[in-house]
Amino acid sequence: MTFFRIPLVFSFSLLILQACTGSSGDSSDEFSTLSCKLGSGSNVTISGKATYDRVGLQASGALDFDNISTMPVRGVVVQAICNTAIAETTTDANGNYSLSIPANTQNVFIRVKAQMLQSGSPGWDVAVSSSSSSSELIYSMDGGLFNSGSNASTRNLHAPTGWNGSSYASTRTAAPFAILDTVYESMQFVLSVAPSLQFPALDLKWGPTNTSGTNYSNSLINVLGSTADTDEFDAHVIAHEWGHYFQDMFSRDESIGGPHSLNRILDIRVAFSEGFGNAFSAMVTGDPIYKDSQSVSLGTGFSINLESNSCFNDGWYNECTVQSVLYDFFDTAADTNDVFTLGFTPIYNVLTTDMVASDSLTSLFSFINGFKLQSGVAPAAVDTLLADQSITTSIADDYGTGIDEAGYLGFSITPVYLNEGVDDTFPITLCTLGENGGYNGLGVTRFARFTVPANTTYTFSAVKNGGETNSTDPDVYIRYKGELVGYGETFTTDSETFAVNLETGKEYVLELMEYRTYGDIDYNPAAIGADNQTCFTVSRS
Amino acid sequence: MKKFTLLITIPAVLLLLTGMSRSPEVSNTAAAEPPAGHKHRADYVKPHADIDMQYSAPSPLQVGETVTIPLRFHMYQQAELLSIEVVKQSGVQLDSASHFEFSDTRQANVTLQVSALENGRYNLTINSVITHAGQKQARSFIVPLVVGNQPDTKPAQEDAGYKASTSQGVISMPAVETTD
Repeated sequence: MTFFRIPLVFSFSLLILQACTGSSGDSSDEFSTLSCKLGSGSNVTISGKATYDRVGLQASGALDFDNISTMPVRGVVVQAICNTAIAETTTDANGNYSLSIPANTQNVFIRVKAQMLQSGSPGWDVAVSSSSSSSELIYSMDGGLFNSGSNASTRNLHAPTGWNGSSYASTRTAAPFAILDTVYESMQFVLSVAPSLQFPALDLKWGPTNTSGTNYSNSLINVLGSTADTDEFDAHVIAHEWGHYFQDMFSRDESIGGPHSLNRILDIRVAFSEGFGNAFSAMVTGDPIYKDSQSVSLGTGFSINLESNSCFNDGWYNECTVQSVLYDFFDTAADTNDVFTLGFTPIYNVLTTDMVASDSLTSLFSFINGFKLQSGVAPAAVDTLLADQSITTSIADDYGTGIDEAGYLGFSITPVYLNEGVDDTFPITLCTLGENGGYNGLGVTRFARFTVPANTTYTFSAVKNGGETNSTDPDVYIRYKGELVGYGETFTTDSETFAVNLETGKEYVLELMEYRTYGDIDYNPAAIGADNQTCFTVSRS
Repeated sequence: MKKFTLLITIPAVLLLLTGMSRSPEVSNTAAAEPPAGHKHRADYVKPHADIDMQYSAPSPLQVGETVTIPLRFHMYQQAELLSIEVVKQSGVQLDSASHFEFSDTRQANVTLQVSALENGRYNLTINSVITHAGQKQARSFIVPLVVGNQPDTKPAQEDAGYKASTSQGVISMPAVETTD
């Protein structure tokens, strides 16, 4: 849709943004003394196409600068700027735009913003802005000044990579548009099964020197830009993080995040969240080889074959297992014990309905239990596929009740949820583990289910009763359907106490984590002579 | 005291005390610090190759001063080969080797000697590549280095081609424009 701002404004504004100087993140403006003058009389049409260069990826995940494709900039805001925006539209699915502006307007220019805006259903609000600025500065590519004349004209704008054959020698204009295009793909993929979805606002931060990691948190995706590891052309990486946004906004995600790799034995919430992100990225891109370029100068990369199905440390605590199973449910390629060609619809349904309503935390258990109820899903075939991932006990509820330990060697990790509390049996003993790495390793946080006999305030306490001889710091969280309803996370040594209002008829989940040792994200059980299991008595009064 | 040794994969803040995605319905009555149930929360980061690196962040150093930076690598599965390449920016000098290799290992230690030539903020890029079952997987790490007491707050080598306008709310970049 094209619109006009109030023309009166223009006559008072003689300064336009052109030839501004200063680096990304500079808070100052410098304005050219050139002025834009609106024409009078009828309008003329300025149309064209917006494109960007996308650098391909090698099978290893490394950037392939010999394989650069020109791609349309889809669904983004395009403006005619005459001191300020005098007309605005969005590009179509081919990158085409058309604007109507007053004829004979002098010194106007076309701006293509790294921003997608659409109100209604479906609707979205997405922008790529500078990671080095405290205020939101959205990237744009700007054309040169021109006079609109008296006839329609065409102006095509292209965003180049800035690559000169051996290094990034000039502005990396393509980068924000490449990032945005993967978001466009991700949204279109979800809209294919839920056409009226309204996506909550999402910000993406990128910069050519950004070293702050590629990650998602609270409606914000940060994207690496430093040549030590750039991610703007890594569609799987962007789609993975967008998958976290999707799960956060439309499903539930109790994952505590943190670093993760395929071989790790992870907290069940983290394993599901990350495995879903990996599988989702392959679904969106149509490429089961997840690719993540690393060093630009050395040409290194990282890749994951989601169809290999061969997972080190496979099981319900492993993101590789999760991604393998989810992708097999989705794709049409048949491999060992993969009889599924179900597409995204049943996965979407489970994520947005069953898992949202579950009393349990988000995990492979709650996903599979809901998935088995979906139309066209044969539960026995699901069990067969899971058995290939060393999950030989059929998943029959959201909690993994009765699940085996899948060949896990170490301290006991089952039951995954201690359930004595459901029968109102307190105190209980929960033992946290450090043997799978700190913070988000399996067992660092242990779980229990419970109900309460009356609507009142309950006091919970956790007291160390054995294990780690050094000082510990237990923390306790209580959730109802994933929502945090109470917690105790003081720094008190070896114990924790807190009070919380709870209601009958609800089933709660209690989480206990030992923070001082095992909760350290840098904890390395091999390097520290700590006891790898510490038990706490959890009481309720 | 909590441990605050740095894991490079989440360079600035590891246990972010930022908001959780959903606010608590009922707050507890006892917890005093931190106030909002955010003690355990990290970002959702991208997957990485099966290699972690740990180091202790060096203190700001002065021009001419040399700092020793020990790096500790850990893999969850034994790698047939671990290859490490260190890339520096101009303004700092690497006085130790820049390339290291280790065979059939799950852990490796490397010590870097770095000296400062000019005040500023720099990054050492640590490129690690592991080979397992004939397949190479890479992971890059950044070690930030501060030279001088009050160096320029902007990162070194910030590209000057991005033109910021707070009034227009944009970073303007040049397009290649063609007309008919």
